[in-house]
Amino acid sequence: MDENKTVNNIPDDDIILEVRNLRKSFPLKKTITGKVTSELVAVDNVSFKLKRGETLGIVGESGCGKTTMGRTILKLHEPTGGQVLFNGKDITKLKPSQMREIRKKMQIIFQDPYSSLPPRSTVGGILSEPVQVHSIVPKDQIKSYVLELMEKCGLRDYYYERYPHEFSGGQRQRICIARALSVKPELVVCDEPVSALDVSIQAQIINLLKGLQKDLNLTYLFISHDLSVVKFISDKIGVMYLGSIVEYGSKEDIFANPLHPYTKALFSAIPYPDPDVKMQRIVLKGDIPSPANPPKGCRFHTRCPYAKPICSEVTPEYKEYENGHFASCHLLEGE
Amino acid sequence: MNKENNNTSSKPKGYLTGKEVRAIAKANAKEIKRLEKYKNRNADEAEFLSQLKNEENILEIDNLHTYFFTEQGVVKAVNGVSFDVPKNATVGVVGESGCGKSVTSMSVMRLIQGPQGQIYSGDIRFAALDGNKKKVYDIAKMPIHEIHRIRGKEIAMIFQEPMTSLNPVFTIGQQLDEVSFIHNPEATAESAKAKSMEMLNLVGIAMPERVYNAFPHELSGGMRQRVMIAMALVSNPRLIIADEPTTALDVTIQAQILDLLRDLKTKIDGSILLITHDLGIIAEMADYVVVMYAGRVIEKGTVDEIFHNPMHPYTIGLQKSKPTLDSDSDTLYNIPGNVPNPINMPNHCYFKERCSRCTAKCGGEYPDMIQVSPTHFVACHIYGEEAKNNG
Repeated sequence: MDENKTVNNIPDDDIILEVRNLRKSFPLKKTITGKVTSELVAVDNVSFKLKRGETLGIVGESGCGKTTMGRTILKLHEPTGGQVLFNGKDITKLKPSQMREIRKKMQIIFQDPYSSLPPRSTVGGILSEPVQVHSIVPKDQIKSYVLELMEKCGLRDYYYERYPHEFSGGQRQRICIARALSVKPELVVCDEPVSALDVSIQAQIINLLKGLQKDLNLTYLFISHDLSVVKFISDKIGVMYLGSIVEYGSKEDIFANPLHPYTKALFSAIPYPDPDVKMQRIVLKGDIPSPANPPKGCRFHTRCPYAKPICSEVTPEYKEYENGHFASCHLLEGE
Repeated sequence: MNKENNNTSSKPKGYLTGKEVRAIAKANAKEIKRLEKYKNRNADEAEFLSQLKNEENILEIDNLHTYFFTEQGVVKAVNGVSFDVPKNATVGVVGESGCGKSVTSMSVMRLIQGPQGQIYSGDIRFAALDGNKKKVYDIAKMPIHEIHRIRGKEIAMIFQEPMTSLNPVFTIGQQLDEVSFIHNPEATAESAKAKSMEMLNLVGIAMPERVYNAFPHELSGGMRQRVMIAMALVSNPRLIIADEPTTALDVTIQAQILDLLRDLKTKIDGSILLITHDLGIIAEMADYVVVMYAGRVIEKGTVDEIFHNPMHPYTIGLQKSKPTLDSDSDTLYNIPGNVPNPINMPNHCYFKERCSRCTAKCGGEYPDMIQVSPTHFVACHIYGEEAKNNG
């Protein structure tokens, strides 16, 4: 794309999304003049690159900032600092009118299919509105385009006239997926798209997402708290804890050789559906600290079973330990 | 999906004529009146005393029907469920949302929201200890005002949502003490507090004194769930019903709570009825497993039988459709279609539309429970012939 040339970095056609030191904070207290005296840092210094056609899975517990990160990348939240390069172009500085062109290329699928569809429009209306707004196809072809899209997402054509309340959770999530895909996006942020669904429906939606990715060469940023789902769908995985990515690497590396103690604990905490397998479980003590008042040094040290004195004082550096496998932990540096 | 397709051909799905609506309302009103009267009657104890089929059980649910009388028709949320909870065992009930697993547990506690929701028929036999004498009550037949003999005292419940299950305007201490005051007539303020503190210690709360004086909003989700468990334990129950105790919690907190529940079972010398949709939790916690689908038990057995030798196509599909950390296949197995509409269930097997191993027989009557081993039962036609041939 020609916009790429205007940016100072080397354009790389393969990298669709690059996030550099992204930071998002929410003010908690303000003085009377509007100066922020205390803030909650939801996303702190997150950097990664995402290749076209790949899936990056983001895992973490609730409150770790994974949803905020997804939304900040789409500029649904205004980032506080850092850069988001989409197709090599920094979108953080763009004006709303300029963002409009970009929005076509990046879409989001929300977690709760029950509250993310307008109750008063039909499925046809929901799906044709974005097509019309962004003039994806000529006006007279909208209906046939939408019907084709519905078929792709496993929706029957007579659903066109129906309203969202007539559908079950799985069907609604298919509508949400179709809506996101209606503007022919390149990047789709999937914010826990299957956590509100039953296991047998989950499998249908995951297979659908995987099939669509292959057909349309989509790039996914897949946010979930369910590690087994993330493992299934992702190529790269980032593990988040209290606003920052503590470990990042390819799926194979992370699962074969988890470096960070939090990743290890997270893996061991998943109940395994076989009564004979008795997990050697690392049970973490305590709760996630409040992000409004995060612990000093390594943020994980309050719960880490291997914490050393240095962990409570110095923030560990986010470094590459193996090829393409990043982590931030003091324990690794000694080795 | 097939089912919806069929419906659209004649008349739009889900719409009733005025005549039909009035007929349903009339029939509902009649049934509700009869059942409410039965629920609120005065009855001698002899009327709801019963006998256990097997003395080793603590709870026997026998052909339980719990219906909801709605404006669209009768929803048979629990439609002939039978299973037992043995002493000192954990029984896991697993199924998808809407399969009736929560309604079953609510029926045992008699917490079904009336007047629409009613226990229609069936027995729930529970071996209670009245003083030191063992009495078997039929919970389904008890008048509602007698239920306090059991509810909260002999059977305690841990609810799914720790965020909404605690009263926000009372301190944790007040809410815990209340249990003692209600179920133990001799309780004093000191003894109630001592008991509450003991339970808070038991569930592994680090600073019980501080939590005792705290309000629910000051605690995190995991802590609140611990408080809920402590509250369930105050009256020394012999059966704990845990209804999705970890669904609202994070995985690392879930691991803590599951560890706690496992320890507790040995400490309190009771049984646990664990309701969840997560097969992993079942495999880890349960001794016996009950698989439910659309208001019916479709398979039950020991945990080894269900996980190593699942027989019902739904159980097999459910296990295959869950991605595990070591699965390497490219696509997930999925069960096609959705759970059928709970109103006007067909007479044949409810899983027929989604089943890949359907036979001609499946169009016939709903299959009976077939015994495969002393503990393993399955409701599916494909095993009917084999069982008969084997004797």
